[in-house]
Amino acid sequence: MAPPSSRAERIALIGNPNSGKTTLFNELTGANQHVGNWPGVTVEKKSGSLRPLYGKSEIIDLPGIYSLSPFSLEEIVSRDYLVDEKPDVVINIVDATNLERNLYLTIQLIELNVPLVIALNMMDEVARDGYRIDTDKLSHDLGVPVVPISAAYREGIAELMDAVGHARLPRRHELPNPSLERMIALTESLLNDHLVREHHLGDAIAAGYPLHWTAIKVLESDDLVLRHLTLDDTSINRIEQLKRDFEDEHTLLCTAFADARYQHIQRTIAESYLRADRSDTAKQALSDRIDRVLTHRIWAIPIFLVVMFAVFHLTFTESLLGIPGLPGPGVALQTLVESGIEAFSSAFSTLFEPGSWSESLVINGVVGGVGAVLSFVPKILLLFFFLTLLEDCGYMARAAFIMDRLFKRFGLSGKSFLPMLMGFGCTVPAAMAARTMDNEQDRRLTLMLVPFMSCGARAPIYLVFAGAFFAAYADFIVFGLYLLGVLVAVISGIILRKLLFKGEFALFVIELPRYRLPRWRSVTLTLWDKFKGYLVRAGTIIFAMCVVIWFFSSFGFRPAVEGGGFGMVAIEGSLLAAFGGFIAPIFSPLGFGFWTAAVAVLTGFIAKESVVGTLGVLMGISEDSALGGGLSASVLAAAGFTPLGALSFMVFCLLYIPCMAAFATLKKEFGSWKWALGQAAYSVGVAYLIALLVYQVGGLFIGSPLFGG
Amino acid sequence: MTLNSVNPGSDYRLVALNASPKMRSKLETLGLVPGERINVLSSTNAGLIIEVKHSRLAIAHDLAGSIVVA
Repeated sequence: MAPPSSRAERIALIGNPNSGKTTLFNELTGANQHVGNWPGVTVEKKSGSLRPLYGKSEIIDLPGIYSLSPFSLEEIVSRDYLVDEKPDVVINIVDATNLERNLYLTIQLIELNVPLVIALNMMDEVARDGYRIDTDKLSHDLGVPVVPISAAYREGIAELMDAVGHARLPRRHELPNPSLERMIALTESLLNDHLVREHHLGDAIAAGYPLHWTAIKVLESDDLVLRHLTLDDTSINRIEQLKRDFEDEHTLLCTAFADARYQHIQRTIAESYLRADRSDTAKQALSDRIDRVLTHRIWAIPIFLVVMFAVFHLTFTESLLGIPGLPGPGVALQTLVESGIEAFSSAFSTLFEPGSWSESLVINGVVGGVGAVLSFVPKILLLFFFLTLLEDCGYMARAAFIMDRLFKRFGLSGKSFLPMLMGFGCTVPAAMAARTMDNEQDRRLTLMLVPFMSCGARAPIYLVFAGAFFAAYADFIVFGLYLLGVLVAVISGIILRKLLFKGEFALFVIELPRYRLPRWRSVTLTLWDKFKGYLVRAGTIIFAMCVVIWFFSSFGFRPAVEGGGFGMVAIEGSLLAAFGGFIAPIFSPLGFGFWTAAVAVLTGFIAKESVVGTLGVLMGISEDSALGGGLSASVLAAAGFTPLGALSFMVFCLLYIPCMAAFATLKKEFGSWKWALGQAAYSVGVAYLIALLVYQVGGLFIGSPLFGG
Repeated sequence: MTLNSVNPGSDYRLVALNASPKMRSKLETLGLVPGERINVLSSTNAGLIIEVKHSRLAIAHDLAGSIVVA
């Protein structure tokens, strides 16, 4: 088959959540995808070029939405794109097993009058549910081409693209509510009169909003459209009067529209969506049976905990199933990557003159710094792998449901559960995961709290300090620190909800998709996306920061005995050490007011995993042996740490400002410096306060000096 | 009666939604329109699972309290 005609240069893909939209997008584009943001908002924008086998168009993946009402960022973004950018064709992917509900969006797309093609997905499951869909009849009754496909099995895609080449504008549908239709007609003529009278077209019409659609939106009290229209007071009053009259006599206009649309859908599909002879609904019943166990009133939470424990155990454990010396897959992968970086680093260093500043820059600064961040990538990707599996098979929606009650007590919603959970892996993807939340306040609050979840990079600090000073109960201390992070998040949630996020919080409703086996292609593509994201960050911002830090930790004013002047020095004489010494007194009340600890705290901002490495370097011990026990209690004590100071230091490292990669992500997700800096200031403040409490109150108990350290 | 006081395993008809305009619109979009059949599949301390128009929705108890059924 020849590639479809070149008429459709820009195709938009739109559909409900869980309709298989991402799978179809992946199939259409392969790996030719760009992920970015919609201008001005933090909704992810995915676009890509069609695989050559399907044609030459550009395809935009609009967010998964249920409707085109202006209630969420996703809905507004999708609508604005359709209206302003006017894609040549819109592919509406529809889950055939959930036809009525999915067609609600379709009807709104028909109202918007865009060239439309319906990709009817999951047709294979319809038969198993005991239903049959006559696609020709459905297509005829809807007035829109309907192409049955299976995105997962890559069937019907060529036919879909063929239909895209011949897409036309849909015909206008009449809603089965005569008074409502009369209202629409009245409003249309009112808007028309207004336009004629004004001798100019209002912004909305000029921007291409169709009159019919605009009339419906005006009746639905759509603020965004009303603002665009710039109606005069007379018109506004007349419309308000019309609406009042209707609502007095019938029902709320919004309800009337939703009801009429659904009735219209029922009538339209009455002759094409048929119950087949077989009346068994085996598949759906299976999904419900699984839910009876996984959302059981008693078993739901234990099962949830076991699943989460399994994920964390596989990702982070040094001894799989408690067997010493058998690393879990996460640790094994990390070791592999670390040895790769080490081999690369030593092979690469032969290219430089030993001891030269260029060697120091490249090997210590860039390879060391970027490598430290990259070495965490396997664990994070593995965590993502498990979470994507759980998401794809449908469990995550249930987990959010199970957690909602608990999270509500802390002023959060069950939907912040996933971001918070990811926070134990890495703050960066956790903050990005908050995008799925349907309430902007909840999302911002989640972003404020996610950094308090102790990420994987903070663990080495606990291991070293708890091991050195509290060997007998190190496990207890480490667990306690994780718990402290959660506790701080919980209390902060309650406080911030009272002070900053006072608005109504979203009541919880979520669609529970059917349990399905995950598709490897879509899981691997998701992971590839994340991996690319990390590579880009490692190659840009982390690279740049490493160079900056390298400079400050390698250069300084030489002492007079070495000839004086500015140049490369050992780290003790560096600008960083001088600055560390300068700010060290700030930390005296916390019990670690000496320059080595201060510098470690500063480099911890680059990446928390470099805290231990920095201490090792400053005390003349290699990073490897620092982790391997080289940083013993006596070495640390010589630097100035007391056991209580060590505890306070761990608490501070747990809570203070996340690393710069996380900070940059928070800035992007908040969309403002103000919020990102606010989070940073808040976390440093909380860290200081709690570390202070630990050191001073602890001091009262064990009788060590109050103040100073 | 409201949806948080019903027996799991039974069918009900939606009468009204006593929610904010935004929440009401969201529920209507998901198929909760007047007269719609709601099958309550289960009710636990987490909330309810209902079947509406062949899809499964999980709803917290406080939200279920704003959904009037008969």
